[in-house]
Amino acid sequence: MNRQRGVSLIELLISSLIVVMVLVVGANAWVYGMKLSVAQYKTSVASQIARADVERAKIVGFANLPLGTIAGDSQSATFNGTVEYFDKNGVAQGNSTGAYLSLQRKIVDAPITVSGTTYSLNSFSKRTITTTVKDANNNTVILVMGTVLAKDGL
Amino acid sequence: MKVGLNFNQKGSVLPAVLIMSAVGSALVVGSLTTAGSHYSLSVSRANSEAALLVAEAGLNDELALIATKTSTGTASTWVTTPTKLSGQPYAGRKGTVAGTNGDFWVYASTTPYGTTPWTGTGPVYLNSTAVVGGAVRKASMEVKIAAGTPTGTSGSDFNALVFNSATTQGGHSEGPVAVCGTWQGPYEINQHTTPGKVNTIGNIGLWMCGDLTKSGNVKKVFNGYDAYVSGSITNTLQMLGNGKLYKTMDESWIGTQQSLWTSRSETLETTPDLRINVSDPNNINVDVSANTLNGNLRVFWVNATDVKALKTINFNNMTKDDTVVVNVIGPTVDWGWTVNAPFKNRLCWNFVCTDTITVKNRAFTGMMLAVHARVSQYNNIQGNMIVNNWKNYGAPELHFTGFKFEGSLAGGSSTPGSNASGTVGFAGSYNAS
Repeated sequence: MNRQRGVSLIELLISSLIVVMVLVVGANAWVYGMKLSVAQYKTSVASQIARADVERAKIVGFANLPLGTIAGDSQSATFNGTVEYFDKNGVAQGNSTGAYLSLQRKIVDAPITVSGTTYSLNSFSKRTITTTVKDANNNTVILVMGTVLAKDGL
Repeated sequence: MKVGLNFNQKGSVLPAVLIMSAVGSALVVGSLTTAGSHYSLSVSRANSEAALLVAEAGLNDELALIATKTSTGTASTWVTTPTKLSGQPYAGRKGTVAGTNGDFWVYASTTPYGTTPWTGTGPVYLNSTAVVGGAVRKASMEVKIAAGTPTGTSGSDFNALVFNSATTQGGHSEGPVAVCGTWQGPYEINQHTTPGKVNTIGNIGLWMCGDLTKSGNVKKVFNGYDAYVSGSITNTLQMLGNGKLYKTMDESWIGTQQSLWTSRSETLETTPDLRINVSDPNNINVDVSANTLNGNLRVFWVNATDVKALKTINFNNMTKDDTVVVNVIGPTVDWGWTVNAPFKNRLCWNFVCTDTITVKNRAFTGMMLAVHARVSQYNNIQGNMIVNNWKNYGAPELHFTGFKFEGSLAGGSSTPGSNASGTVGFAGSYNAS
């Protein structure tokens, strides 16, 4: 009888240990799964707003996109757009308060024809557009999309 | 029959826990797998979207590249051929969109996604394949390409084409000189050869968008050639042989040339090339005909540190139709090579990423294409000098007779820039997959 009671105690201890292990692993897995789900959602929304931004730039077109600041070597010019903010649904909002994602467009023009403090584009200039989407909470980059525009091109 | 666990029996707790743990673990693994799959799918979709943008970037990149070539050579050489280079997964020229992941490969053919090279006439399609993180997208569009009309305008008409300032202690040039910036110090311009041309203007000895300042003797333009100077001149310039001085000029021309030559320089740097074997301690021999990567455009490369040693380089088996380009890779060049070639006027040294070049130990022979470089000249330069800044010491010369560049950087047979730029653009047919 006493021997059977001893076995029950050991069985209970092992069972408790297994339950604890399963709970710990399960909790970590749950946290990891939640992070994956959040990352998946952010990537999805970020991809949509980045693509939309590049498409907007393409519609404005090679000739009409804003010019940038000439680099020191006069070989290129860079335009950094204003930072835009978006909520969880990918809808633009006016400021950073409560924002879920942020987006910034950058345009690099090269080669360029410099005349004094201004410059112009020519038939062999390329306008490289990159759109960077970041997590508005911690400023980490989620994704970057980009393309190149040329005169009379797509 | 009774099914299930009898918890009144001793010893049933462990099996029950094990079963529940197994069920719980299966649920957790299942949830994680689902979450992971969704995340992978989301990333794949994002990569696919990005890849299409990169593929379109490839098409526009090729358009811009073609635009740099339509002023020279034959039409078929303006486009990238559907050749799959060794080690590359797709046919065409490899490129990237700076700041993003992924690559594109772009080429031209006679049909969408076709493999027949364009011969210079008939329909031409640009085809691009892009890979971003495993996602592959393709795009193709029809383009119209037309050559420019001959104007005689050529940056290579000038013995020296300097995009920014110049400082000289003396010396002379055989050919015309163009500078955009301030030029200080004495110099004798255009002593021998034919004048330069800008657009429809000829008889040019000096083309100067900036100020001429005096230090020592004045500058002199010889042989009745004209000077065009937009900046101040006071007591710094002497016109010999009844050459005229004009104050009105196209100040943007040198800037356009800078863009054009920069683009050409970058294109040459990415053109398939062979490394020159510099292991011989004395003479370097290059078999030009053995380089068949780009037809008659024979492109080689060396490290900037290689050209420092005092050696002689012989370009052997070079024909009158060949153009030899040597990409010199490195930020600093201390020139030390004597150059032997049967056609020195078809030889181009391309310093695409070089900041400083010193020509002191040996004379430089061939066209010096160094769009970003500051050149310190102590010794003669025999050929075109296309540079960002120029400073000479003593009285070194710029030689042009027999050295004026006549090669074709597009692989054709005519001089670069001998035509105005042609046109190239989207012709209305586009598809993507």
